[in-house]
Amino acid sequence: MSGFIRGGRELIEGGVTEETCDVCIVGSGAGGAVTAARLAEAGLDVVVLEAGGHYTKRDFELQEASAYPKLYQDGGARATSDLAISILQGRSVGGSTTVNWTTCFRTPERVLENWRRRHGVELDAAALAPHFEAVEERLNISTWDASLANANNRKLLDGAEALGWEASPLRRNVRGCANSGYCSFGCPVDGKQAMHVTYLPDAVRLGARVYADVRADRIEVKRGRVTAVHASVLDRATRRPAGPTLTVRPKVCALAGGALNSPALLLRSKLDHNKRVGRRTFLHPVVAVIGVFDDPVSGFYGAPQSVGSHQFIDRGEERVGFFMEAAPVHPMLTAASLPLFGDGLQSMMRQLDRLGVLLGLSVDGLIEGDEGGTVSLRRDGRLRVDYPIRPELAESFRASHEALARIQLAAGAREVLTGHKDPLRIRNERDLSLLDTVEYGAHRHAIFTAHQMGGCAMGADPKTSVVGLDHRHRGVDNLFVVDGSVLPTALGVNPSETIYGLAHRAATFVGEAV
Amino acid sequence: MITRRTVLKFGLGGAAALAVSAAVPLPALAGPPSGDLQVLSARELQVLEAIAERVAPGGDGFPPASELGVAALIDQTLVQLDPGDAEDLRSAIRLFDSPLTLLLVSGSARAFTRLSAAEQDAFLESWRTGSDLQRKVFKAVHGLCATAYWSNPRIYEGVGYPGPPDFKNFVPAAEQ
Repeated sequence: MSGFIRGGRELIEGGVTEETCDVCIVGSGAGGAVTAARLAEAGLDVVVLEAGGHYTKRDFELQEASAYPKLYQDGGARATSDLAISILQGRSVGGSTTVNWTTCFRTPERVLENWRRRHGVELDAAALAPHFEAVEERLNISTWDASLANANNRKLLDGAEALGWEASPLRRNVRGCANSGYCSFGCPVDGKQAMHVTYLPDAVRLGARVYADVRADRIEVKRGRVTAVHASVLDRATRRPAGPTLTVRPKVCALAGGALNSPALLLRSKLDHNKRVGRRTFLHPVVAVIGVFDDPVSGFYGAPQSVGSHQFIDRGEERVGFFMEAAPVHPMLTAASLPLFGDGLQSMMRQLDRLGVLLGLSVDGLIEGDEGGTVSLRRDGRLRVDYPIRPELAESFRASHEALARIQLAAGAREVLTGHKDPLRIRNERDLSLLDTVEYGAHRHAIFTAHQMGGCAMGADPKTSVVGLDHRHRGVDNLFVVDGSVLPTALGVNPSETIYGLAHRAATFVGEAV
Repeated sequence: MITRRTVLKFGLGGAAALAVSAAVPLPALAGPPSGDLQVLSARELQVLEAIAERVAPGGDGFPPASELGVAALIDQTLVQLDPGDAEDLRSAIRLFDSPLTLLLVSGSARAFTRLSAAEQDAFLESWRTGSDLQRKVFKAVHGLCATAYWSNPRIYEGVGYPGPPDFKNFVPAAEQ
């Protein structure tokens, strides 16, 4: 029997207010979609709740003005509570996979080793390999041809090569990619193998029922077991509750709202018996540098992210490592990232076609004592993310600026600008000493995150972990968490494939609990 | 970045001055949205229009923010935010027009809308580079204005951005 993907309006018109099923999955992104498909394949009756809307390639307008409000959490306006870190996180059927930049890595062995040693998470590359192989095949994950890299990514490759640093083409989950540069707006040609064109249709073909515009508000637990998921139907235009509700009564519940949202839902449901929910939230905090080139870069066109460098990923036990990738250079994202206004901003924007933007992503959670940030709830129930910037992270920001600037210079940049409130202008290697004249951290320069991890950390110790190695909640027997919130640390690579792979593995445990 | 949620934690984080501002909302500024507005009051819209005009004054081939109706566009964006987030943003906007709060936060009681363009630029510049609190407020309102302005297709030509390609007749190549 075939299932369906229905929006809030259809739900209301159909008068549906109750559902029963084997498994209710909250969230339809990288974790939820893979879990749904695996469980449906196993013959289980699956319901998926997704707070975002359902959009397909026909709906993607490829305009920043509409893409962010439609496809991102809080309309693209999510940020840490001090506004120092802008949080880009997807919100639609397919979650962040609908808008991510397609970069895929298996979980690095170095990180798995850290998890075994510090968190008792006994996972190794061999145990995860079958899961990664399966998702790599389904999502056509393969290395992008370097000859297709756009000029912005080419600068990263060429600059690193000139410096004798490691840099390589990235693996991407695409099939029939138009190399357009519009990944972050929703793929206009279904080239990106996002969840709304892969695992979710797989699940639906096998009977899964996916409800879009439906926000899970509370998990009801009686005598240590989930008995219901209470959800509100949202108005597609305003994202606010339209009035009707949906109550799902599942045998088992699997949370996949993503890092930040999954811990928030557990907190709203008062399922935080050991006070660990929301702790150890990691963001891969990102700093950007802008290279100004004499020739056109046209960083708005071409696959936005096709080259990466892990030259500085391991800086020893005491220092925070970082990796480097490119970013798409569309007008709004660029303008809003620059802390300038008036003529200063305008003259910068006039050069948009000649700007190259590279990112340094710091790897949080790996060094001793790095607890990252915290998800909590405001008095009115709103999500709150706090992320203190430790000195070790600020040092990594400085080192990232230097490495990125050197790459841009080596790739021929006329000058390199930092994201500081008064951007440094670096024109040659000597100017790099300017980096010692400024501060690093909150409100000192622009900081972003596109990778949210942790908050429902997996671990061997019931006192310090939210879920066990089988993704099962420590206090509720038939409740699982199957998304990026279970990661004990950040990864040092883009997280999507790790989430796909872990969900692929977790589905077995979820299914066995039915 | 993006229409930024501001989270002005009045009274938290040691921002004593702002705790006062929360206690002294200006009656003339508060109140429900008016006219065609979804979230902002007419007065808040005026304040936001004044800020947007300095964030994006136009010229040299670029239209000014007022020509693009940036403040009204922001109002339409705010309706999609969590009501609590939208209220925080309204507070940030009101801050620019609240003499008592301004006196406490910046040492001058002159409302933003009463300043000349040059004085408004100096005001924004001092907040852009000022205390953490001032930077936070600047970032919130700047984010709102910059995103609404620089996402408008009418600025594409000025920045040399051709806009999205047409994919109507796109035929995918195999595998890549």
